[in-house]
Amino acid sequence: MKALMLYAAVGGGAFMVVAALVPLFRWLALRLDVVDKPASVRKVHSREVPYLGGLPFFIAFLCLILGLEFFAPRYAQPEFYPMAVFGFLVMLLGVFDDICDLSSKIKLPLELLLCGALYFFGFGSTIIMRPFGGALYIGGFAIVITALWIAGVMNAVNFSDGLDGLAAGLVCICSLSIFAVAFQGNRVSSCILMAFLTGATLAFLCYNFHPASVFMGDAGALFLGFILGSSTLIEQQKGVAVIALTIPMMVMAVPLADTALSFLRRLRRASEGGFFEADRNHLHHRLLALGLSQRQAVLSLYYISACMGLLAFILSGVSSIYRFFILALAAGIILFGVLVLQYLESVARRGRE
Amino acid sequence: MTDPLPTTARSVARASRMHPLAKVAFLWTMLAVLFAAFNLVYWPRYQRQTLKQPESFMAYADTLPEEEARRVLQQGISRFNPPWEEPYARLAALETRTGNAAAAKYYRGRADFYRALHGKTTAIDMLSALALAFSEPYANIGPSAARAVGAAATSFCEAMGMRGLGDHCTLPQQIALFDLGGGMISPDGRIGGAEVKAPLPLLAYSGGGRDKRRGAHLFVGDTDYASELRGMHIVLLDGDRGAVIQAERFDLWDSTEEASRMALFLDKAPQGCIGLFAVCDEGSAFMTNAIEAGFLHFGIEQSTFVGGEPRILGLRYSFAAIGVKGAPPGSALQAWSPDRFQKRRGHPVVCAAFPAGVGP
Repeated sequence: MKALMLYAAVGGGAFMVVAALVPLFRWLALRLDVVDKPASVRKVHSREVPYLGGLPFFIAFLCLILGLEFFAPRYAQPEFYPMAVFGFLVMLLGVFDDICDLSSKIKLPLELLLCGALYFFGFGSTIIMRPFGGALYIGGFAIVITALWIAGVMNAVNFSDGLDGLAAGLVCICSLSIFAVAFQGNRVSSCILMAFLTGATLAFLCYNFHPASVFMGDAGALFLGFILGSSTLIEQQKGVAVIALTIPMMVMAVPLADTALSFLRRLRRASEGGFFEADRNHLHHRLLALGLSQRQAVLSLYYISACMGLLAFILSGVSSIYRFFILALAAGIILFGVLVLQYLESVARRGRE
Repeated sequence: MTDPLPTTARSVARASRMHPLAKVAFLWTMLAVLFAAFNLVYWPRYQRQTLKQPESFMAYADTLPEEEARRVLQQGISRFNPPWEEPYARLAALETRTGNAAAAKYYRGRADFYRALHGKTTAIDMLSALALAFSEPYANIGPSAARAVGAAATSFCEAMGMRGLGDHCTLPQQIALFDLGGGMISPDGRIGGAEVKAPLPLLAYSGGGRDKRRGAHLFVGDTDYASELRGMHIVLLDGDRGAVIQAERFDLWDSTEEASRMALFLDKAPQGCIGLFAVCDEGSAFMTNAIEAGFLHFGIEQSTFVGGEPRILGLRYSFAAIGVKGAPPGSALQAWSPDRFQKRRGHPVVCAAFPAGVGP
């Protein structure tokens, strides 16, 4: 009961801090003219929307650490400080990207470097859990896995930040799902971080849901992804001493699948030197192209994400035999979704022709 | 009255003329100031928090007065069995200053043990000299334990890359060395505080997880029930007659099913039976709360700390224990060494109970 009160306080606190600070940073973004102009074909909004809405996430995170230290020192985790330090660096990177549009050629290596460095502060493990049972020793390769995993989640959240309320909503659903799994396993650090993410993203959605009055920008999206990715690695030295990547992977199936598809498209373009160029073929863009409104596209992606979260919750409590079936079911749903999308696209194309 | 809109529009126009890098510099400065303010409040607390982490007991002890430092060092040693000499040497110095000669001698012995262990070339000579001073309690254990102790000594030497202990040390000296390495040896056969006496010589040896150190022995009398296969090896025997009830191995690296099987095995073990446990290679990857609860029923306790939480053992730890089902927590003979602690490698451990007067 005490723990539940703590999680509620963390979520509520994050909600209040973000809700109070977003208007302030919106005002600052307008003053500084740090706005997203609907210039490129990738943009779906029709008017200028201020950035910097993601900076309150970082401030709320600092408040969370201080709040725990002063009011619930028993729950203050030393791992939160490295998260704040690297989160600060991620913020700086994101702010620079929002204003100067940093090339992915520079951004990606920097992200990997920052995320890989977290390994030396107790994030990640030399053992990972195989999806169908058993453990796998990965030794020094763990640094690469840590870097790829956190940077992958960061970019997944960033890529999904293409429609009003999409990134924040997906992070909110993912964090709620991971909270449920972590709560079942009595993993306090994860629960605290997930309660924080849920509160912060819910508050942000008040301003960011369609029609959005503020964007979180790369700064916010990268920071949210960073916290989400690193928090899944935080409990590795506790409880079952292996990283169970299958659960967070399934919870984040929508943004991760979008990132994977985007990566494949970029690979196809790589021969023409277009690997680092963004396109308008993300899942949300394709749903819009099918004729869905922004709100409908966002809500359908929320729905899929929530289903995946539910599957992940079920998966966390079953033995490896059943896990195989649930994983196969999840993979089937994703494959079916992609095929249906392709079919609808071809029907729409034929209709236009 | 001034209209705020034109003012905002003017400032926006001014801001949009600002160089983008100037905007970045402004926002970075703002964030840096904020983060610096946070650090000003939090950094000293974080340092204290880090210092109070169980793993930082050495650094923490440095900041404390002698009596407190002694307590913190004792606690740190009991939680981590640090596999190098410094913590033991420091505690021995503190014990000497407080006039506790027996404890000082023991900790100095453990410090010497690790100094010898890491001093490769002269290790065996140093160890045999050291063992002389500590072998007295084991002088009367009788020859019945010779085979078990010999096998454990051979495995220990193979694991540590040394020449045979048996050639240089007598039986009591070998046992004394296992004791100095953090082992739990009962020279009168009593199993901890369980008030049960081993009906036969019992010995559990665990090599832990380093490649060369793999191996486990579970001796009940003259018979070794463990194998070279990975996992937690367990033998259950009748507490009165010493007859083996069941011998099993659980590969906790392999799957959660093995973990469930082991939890059930521990749960179904008859009350009052003696359990011998030894890890070969790895025995903790899928350690569940149900298994830990099963161990607690054998008087085994969560004496180590993994990731800041009390656990029975961590990944690739060597772990050996002898306990009685139904005995109070902490009553079992229990020994372990970490795979690594602060970049130092651990070592194999031994638990044994030798009932006096039992002949070969």
